[in-house]
Amino acid sequence: MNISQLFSLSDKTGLVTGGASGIGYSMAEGLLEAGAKLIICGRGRHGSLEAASNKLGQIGPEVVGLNCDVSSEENVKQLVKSLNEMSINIDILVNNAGVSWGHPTESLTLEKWKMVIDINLTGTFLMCREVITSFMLPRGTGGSIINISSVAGYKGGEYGVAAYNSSKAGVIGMTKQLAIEYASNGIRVNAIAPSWFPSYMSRYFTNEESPMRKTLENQNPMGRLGEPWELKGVVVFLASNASSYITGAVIPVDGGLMSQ
Amino acid sequence: MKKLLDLFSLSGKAAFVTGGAKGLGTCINEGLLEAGVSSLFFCGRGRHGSIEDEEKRLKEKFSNAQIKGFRCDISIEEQVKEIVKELKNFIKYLDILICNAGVTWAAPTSEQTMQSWSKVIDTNLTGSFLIIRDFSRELIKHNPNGGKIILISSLLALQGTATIPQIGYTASKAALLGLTRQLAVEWAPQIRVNSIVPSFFEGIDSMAKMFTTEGSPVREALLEMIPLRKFVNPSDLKAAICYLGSEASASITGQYLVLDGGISVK
Repeated sequence: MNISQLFSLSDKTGLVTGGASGIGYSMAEGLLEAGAKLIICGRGRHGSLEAASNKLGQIGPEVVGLNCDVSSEENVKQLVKSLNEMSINIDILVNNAGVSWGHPTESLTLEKWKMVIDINLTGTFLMCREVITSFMLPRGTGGSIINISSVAGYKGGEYGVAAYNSSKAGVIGMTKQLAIEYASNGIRVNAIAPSWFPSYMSRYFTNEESPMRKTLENQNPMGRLGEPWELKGVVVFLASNASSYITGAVIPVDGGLMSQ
Repeated sequence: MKKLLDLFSLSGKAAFVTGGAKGLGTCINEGLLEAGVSSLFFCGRGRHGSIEDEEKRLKEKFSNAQIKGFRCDISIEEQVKEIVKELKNFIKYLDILICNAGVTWAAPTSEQTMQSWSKVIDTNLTGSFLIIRDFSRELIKHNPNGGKIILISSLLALQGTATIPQIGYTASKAALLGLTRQLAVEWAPQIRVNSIVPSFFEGIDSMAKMFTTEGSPVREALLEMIPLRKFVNPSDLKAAICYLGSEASASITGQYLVLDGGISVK
């Protein structure tokens, strides 16, 4: 296969959770630009889902935005039902939806802990289970699942982020388990571990005005934060046949942070 | 400077073990007491009188130590708070906390229900968080000698399995490694936090028992898979607990110690 065929996603359909904003939006853009049909889902607050779908629709013709809170089993089942009704098959699942809550662990409330675990960890489980059982297994043509973990899954931090770091480490474990469990079904499961990227979620740290931003830049071997477009290449690589022999891998996209 | 073997001593220390009424927990209880722990507390869900049985067993064997078992479902916040309150009647500080309580549910991921998933995540992950949060704040943080927290993870946190899939267990045990690293950094230098990553146990009432006991049809095949040709036994676990719970590991925090006979490096 020639190299542009290897990376091509034409004839594929990708679903990106949390695809309306932040790094999810960039990855959605990447899949579209590589030729995929695209579904984005999110909690759709403030009309963000519609705005994002319209904007992405200018890149590729087929973009569908669907409301879904991934931590709700009912929502996830409804999402899959809607996709089935529209005769949409999912070949690529990007589990990007995520939240964080910064607070010293000794006084982190159970409510905030659960909010993060439910979306980042349970949400990833529910999406994987439903997409595997509804699309990837019955069709027998396999698929590619890309879980968004974080360098926080590998490293601790001085700020209290116990729930976030636990959830992201959990996602790494789950990635390896699903990779092994479904390798013989042609379903590949990999993860991306980004470091700091500017987004709504990380705004307190990454905004231009944030006093923390300089520190984060200085801590990074490349001396800067990641830019959202820098996740496009890796997500297309993992989604496409270019990575057909890769499963269970976790790829850091971190300016070298994990290696120092 | 302390003599080498003194570094491993837990003499006079107070320790608490979750899931201490059965399985790995009873082995950990014993190890701590053998290493000199003078106040040993544990909790369990206490079905079939297991808490009383374990308390009695330990008291007979270690008559000089203060030993008490509590009934607690660690996934319920109020019950954890209650344990902390009760414990304060016995000790001012805790030196060693072992988060061992865990449950699992084995089934292909496609067949795992929200109920099976939540049960495992709530106990193994959220339960550990609740215990660690409240114990650290109330009983460990101000300990002038510092404290040690040890989380029991699993080899499944590091590598997947096609034969006995248990996605919730895997996710929770992998998440505990993330929690270990986060707390190690956040709570240094007062508290050291490490994990133990065991594989197949022999001679301990764990889930692996059905595979590793003499006469099991897969025992030999499993042994073939393990470079050291042995399963993890009780003294291996006791030694690891003693190492990570004592001054012998004074410069180690945020790590996991793998007890797997070499499986993960093969």
